[in-house]
Amino acid sequence: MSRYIATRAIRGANGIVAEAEALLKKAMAEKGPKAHVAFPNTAYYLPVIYGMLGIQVTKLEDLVPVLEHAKNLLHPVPEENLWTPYLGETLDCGMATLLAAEAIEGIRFALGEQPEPYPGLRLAGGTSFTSPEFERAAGDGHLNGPIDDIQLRSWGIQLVDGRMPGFAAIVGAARTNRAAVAIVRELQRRNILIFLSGNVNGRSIIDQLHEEGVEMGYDTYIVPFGRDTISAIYALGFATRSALTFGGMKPGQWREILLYNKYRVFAFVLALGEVDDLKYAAAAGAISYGFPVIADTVIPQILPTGVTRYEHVISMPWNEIDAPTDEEKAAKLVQRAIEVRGVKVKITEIPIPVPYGSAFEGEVVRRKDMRVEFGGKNSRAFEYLYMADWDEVEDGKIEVVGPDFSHVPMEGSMDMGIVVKVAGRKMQKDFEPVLERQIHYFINGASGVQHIGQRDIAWIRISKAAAEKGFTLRHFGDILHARFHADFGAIVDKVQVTIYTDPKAIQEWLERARQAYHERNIRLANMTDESVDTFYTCTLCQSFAPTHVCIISPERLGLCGAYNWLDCRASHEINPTGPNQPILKGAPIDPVKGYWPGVNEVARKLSQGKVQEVAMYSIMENPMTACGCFECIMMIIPEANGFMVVSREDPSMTPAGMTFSTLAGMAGGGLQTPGVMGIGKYYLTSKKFISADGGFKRIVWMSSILKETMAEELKAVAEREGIPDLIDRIADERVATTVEELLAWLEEHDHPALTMPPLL
Amino acid sequence: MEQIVLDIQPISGDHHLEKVVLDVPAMWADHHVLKVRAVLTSLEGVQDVYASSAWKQVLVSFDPSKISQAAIEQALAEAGYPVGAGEVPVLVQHDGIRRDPRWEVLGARVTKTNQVDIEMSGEFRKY
Ligand code: SF4
Ligand code: SF4
Repeated sequence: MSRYIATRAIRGANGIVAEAEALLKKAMAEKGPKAHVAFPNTAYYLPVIYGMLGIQVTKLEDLVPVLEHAKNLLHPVPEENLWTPYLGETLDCGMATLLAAEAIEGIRFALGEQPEPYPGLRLAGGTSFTSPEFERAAGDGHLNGPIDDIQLRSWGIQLVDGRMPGFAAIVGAARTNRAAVAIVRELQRRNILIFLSGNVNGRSIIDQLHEEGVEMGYDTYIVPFGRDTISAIYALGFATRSALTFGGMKPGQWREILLYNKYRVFAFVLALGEVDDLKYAAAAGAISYGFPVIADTVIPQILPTGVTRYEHVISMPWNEIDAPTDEEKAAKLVQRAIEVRGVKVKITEIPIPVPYGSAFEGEVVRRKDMRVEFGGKNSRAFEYLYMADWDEVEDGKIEVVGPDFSHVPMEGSMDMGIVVKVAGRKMQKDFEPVLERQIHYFINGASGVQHIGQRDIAWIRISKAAAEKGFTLRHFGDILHARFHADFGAIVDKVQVTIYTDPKAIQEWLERARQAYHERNIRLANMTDESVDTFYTCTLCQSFAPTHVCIISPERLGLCGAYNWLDCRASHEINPTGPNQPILKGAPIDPVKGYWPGVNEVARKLSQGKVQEVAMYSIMENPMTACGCFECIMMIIPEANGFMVVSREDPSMTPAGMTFSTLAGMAGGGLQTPGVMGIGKYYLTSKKFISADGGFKRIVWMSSILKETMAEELKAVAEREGIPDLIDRIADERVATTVEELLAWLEEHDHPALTMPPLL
Repeated sequence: MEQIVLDIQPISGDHHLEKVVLDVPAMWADHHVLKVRAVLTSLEGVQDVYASSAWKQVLVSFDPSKISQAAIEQALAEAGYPVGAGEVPVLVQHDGIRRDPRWEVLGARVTKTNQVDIEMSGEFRKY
């Protein structure tokens, strides 16, 4: 262990704790000890403090014991000539630093100084939908500040299924703007989430990226926290909350939370530029979480392992990296960081002229940036994948039938169809829709290309920038060919892609495709829980919620909405030892509530005994557990004799007196809580939807966003239930946010739940 | 220190500028850097500032006909960053008692600090 590092980290920790104390005193004198302290849009208070100490900070005075604790963790600076193993002292001081840093950010929020204003910055994906008050307060631009719970959970699923291998916390500034962009692109290419903070001589990597026109925000996986080291605490707050949300840890279980991060969260710190006392101290905090630190300057290294899984501190001076260009240096630096953390990333080289990676999936191509669009208001686009005989498919053949878009005026549109023909020894007709849906993700991965919708309502845009770099229609084929082989190699052996822009061919193929969509719909509608003898497990989320298991049947999809029964079957073919295992359900024990011997047995085994029985069709008795990725939460409203359904996108108050974020804490973590359940939103339309408890008629309140986005499907459900105007009788946040308002509304609209048999 | 001096681009054609390196021990983290820079760059006559929280030093280029070094130092002191004073507070002092009893035994093992560490922490540091 380096005495140099220990000395600086310990000195930095002493300094920041003293600063936090002084700031707290000042703030209490100005605002009063009861002044409100909170990070916006999280149910986890100040998350590091909450996770480590179990203290719920809501007022300035609540920070007094926190800083007391931090002070107790401090140690004196090592003496000149005394050699002791000071790793322990340094780590203690690191933790003190984190507590003090979070306290400071909390106080800054109380003083209205966070999130940090940054004139001119627009965050891609924004924070406005979750924190409108900050959008307004900060005027025309601000940095991100802490990550909100909704975002945490939606990234959760990607962290779980490996699409997102981990996160990099970058602190400081790169040598040049070009190096900054290169490093970030390199990380994006590997789908690693990027958090930015800190500065060197007043310049932050945030400034560098902003100057270079790199879009930052949730959508591009680049989150600018703030321009000082202290705001790096938001990254550790994110890590702490993942342990609490997905790992089922309780606040105060600091040891478990740290270990969880060490083994399950693949994160590392990149320190760019000079490292000062506070950066060393914060790095010591990060090391306690098991996150190694890689610096691009000369600093003493800590190579022995123990606290982190591999080396603790690595120095990789930028000008000594053996590569001619900044881009290649960045590639080596990032590669090393990944090795040190032990992150597993698989990259498939896609032969196209623009960067490619799922970090670009959320990218939006605005109308003014767009070169051409297919589908949408002014044109039509469709995509269709089908299985063909072995000899009929020529692998790697990519054809464009009809003109390309060079003749289309700027920002214009044209019709297009993508037809993919696959063959494979293990391919089945049933997998067609599963594979077809991947087209959306695959195409979205190209930088400068946006894909929305599916089937014959696909809508694709190509940006001017991408077109200038030479992106053409043919490249859709290149992407699909490469990705289908890489991701679905176990079921497809040959992939052939044809892009149609010729009007006559489009008409022909569109009819063929529609016929196929229609047949698939019918086949799916006929597939019931009774018509199959196998259900599937999904344990993908166990890397986050170790006792959670989804049981997926034809009529009940996974609660994240991402996996239905067909997906699981395909996924089992691709990876027979993977998270989706078949369950032989056996003869039903209780067909009404949905008990099967096979399901119970699997649930018991996979939950390590935590769950003994699962009722597939009931929320009141042994409901399915939830990890944290659910699209919606259902909860009983006893007074109304029914249930409410809150969608993840809905930030408003519910009649249960809690918002989605707070409810998520109750529903998640792999526990069975009768009356509370996380569900995928399409389960609402299933005939088996809580059929043991009365089915869809029990819904008394639902987020308006669900009513709007699923209007068609819900209308069909209402008709099936024999009450065509049922949806209009269900309350939402616009008419009721308390139980009293809800009851009044239900009475007035004569909601069926009021006359149904009592739930309790 | 030389390295940092070299990092600053000489301001071409302007020979009236003076450069000083000031020790500012209270500037030990980058949020202090932001404050120090804000203070100095708002002063009339200050041309360029390099503030290093790692070395707790600032390099200021200024036009002596417009502002004096004393005025710069005074501005810093008023902002809470006095030159050459105000070290980082160390809240916990050595009291000879180790928290971990096992360290009592190890306490006898007085050795010299690792040479590599000394090299990297002193003049030889190559940033
Ligand atoms: S980790 Fe190893 S080198 Fe570092 S202080 Fe502990 S014993 Fe010494
Ligand atoms: S189906 Fe269930 S376990 Fe699988 S990814 Fe979705 S939420 Fe997680």
